[in-house]
Amino acid sequence: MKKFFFFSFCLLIIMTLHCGADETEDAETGYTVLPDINSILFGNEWYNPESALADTSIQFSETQDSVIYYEIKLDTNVLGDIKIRKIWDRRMYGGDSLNLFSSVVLVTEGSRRICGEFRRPDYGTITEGTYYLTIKYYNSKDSEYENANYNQGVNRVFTVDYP
Amino acid sequence: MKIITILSLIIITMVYADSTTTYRWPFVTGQGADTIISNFCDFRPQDVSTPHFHEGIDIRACSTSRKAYDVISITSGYEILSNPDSFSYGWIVKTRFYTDDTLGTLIPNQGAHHIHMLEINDSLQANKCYINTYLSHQTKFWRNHLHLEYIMLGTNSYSKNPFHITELPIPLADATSPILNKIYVDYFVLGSATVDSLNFLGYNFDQLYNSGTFKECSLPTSTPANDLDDPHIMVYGNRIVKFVLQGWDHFNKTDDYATPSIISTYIDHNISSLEKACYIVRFDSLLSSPDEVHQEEDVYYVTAPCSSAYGSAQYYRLYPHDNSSDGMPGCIITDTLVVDSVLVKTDNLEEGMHRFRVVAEDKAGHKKTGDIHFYLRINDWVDISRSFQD
Repeated sequence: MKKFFFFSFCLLIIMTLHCGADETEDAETGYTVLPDINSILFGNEWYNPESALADTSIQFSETQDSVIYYEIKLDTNVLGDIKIRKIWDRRMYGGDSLNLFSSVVLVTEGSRRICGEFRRPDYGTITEGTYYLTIKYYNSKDSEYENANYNQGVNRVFTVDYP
Repeated sequence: MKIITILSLIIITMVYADSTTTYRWPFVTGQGADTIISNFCDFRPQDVSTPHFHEGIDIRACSTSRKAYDVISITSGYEILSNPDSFSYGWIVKTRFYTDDTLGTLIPNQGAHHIHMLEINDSLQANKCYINTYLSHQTKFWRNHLHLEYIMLGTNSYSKNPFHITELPIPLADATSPILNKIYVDYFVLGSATVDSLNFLGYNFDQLYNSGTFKECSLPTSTPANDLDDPHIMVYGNRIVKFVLQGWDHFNKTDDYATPSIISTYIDHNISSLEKACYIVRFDSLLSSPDEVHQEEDVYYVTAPCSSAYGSAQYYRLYPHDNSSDGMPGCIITDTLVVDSVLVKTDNLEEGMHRFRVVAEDKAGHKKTGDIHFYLRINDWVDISRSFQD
């Protein structure tokens, strides 16, 4: 009889919780979506943890490793783990846009910034030109990547030249 | 409605569960024999006997005084299956379970082996049934421990994990989580890749990386919140790597080296179809079907450079191992030793940073998580990044 009362109690609790459950993810899709992109900063020096990236025109000295550091800041913290893809394109002076490659990263729950290094594997020379960054996020409902939304004024471009 | 139905079934099950068999610890309460020193499926290498899985659990009698112990069957009613045999490692008593009522109802196809007693109850005879009768009274043990096996009887008898009997009362709770010590990256035996330590954004992970015969990555004790104390590596070339875990489970003694109950792995966990584990080993049974017995090398790495050994390092493959074309051994079937397995093929992953996660869980439900982050490089560019909180 005690077991019966115990399980009846459990049943009551579960039904109460179920009826009162809040939606914690995107109301439309039911899946975690990427918050809007608040800002993107580029630079050729990295000061951790304080970001000091604010360059859209980057010059490398002859002795310096060629690394573009970047910080992508989101409007809000992500509610669950989500995967994003960063697509890198380059436009040579007077030329067409060339897709270089894309790279994914797991954005873990509670994160708001994505920081990284864009470079050659051997820190070799980054060709002069204008580089574009496009961000997509993985929509797990449709199993495809969708374009991220950018707040007004977000810069996604930087140029590289050598003195 | 579903919840009501399920709970109703649970209630009915619980009410009627009282009329079925109860299980007992094989030692008499109060005699202090309660420390597990070896678990089901621990690997026993050649230097002990022929290489084999440990098919039961070992219970240490006492580490300091070799007092005499009383051994009982884990069901109060039992049939002796054959006359007890004596070997250099003590007596074996094989039983078939009966319910503990006076009707002596058979529990179909279940029994146990109790091994290593130096003395047994000499009144035990084959094909006779007993209720509340000692298997052994005031005995000592070969190497001071009792080996308990839980057997599914039949044409092809096989062992199951005694902890699979959820009703079996365990005198001492398993108080500690499994230990995850290192992850080794096989890049040239079954793998094919070039692997380097990966440093970026001013973080240096070289201290977690040892470029040996396999690349050795040390796992931090903390898990899993702080990703920046995890190993980070770069994988390129053919991009095929296989991961091997060195770890173990403690019960209550720091010198216990036992296998965890479940080991599972995930890549980029929590992302849609990747939510499910890539690979799971559940140490529940040694038989997946009547004619398929698991082989030790399916689970353990048994050759150099990661040779498993009882009592010290045990190396678990974190991928299905066999020679079949689809990477799934015939004996790796659901509901038994290895379940829900999808081969981790790193060369199929997208370019970028990935998280490989291994989770070890003991029977008491303690979990330990270890992560290794790897950048999979395909192009002559890299974009190495991580996410951060504010």
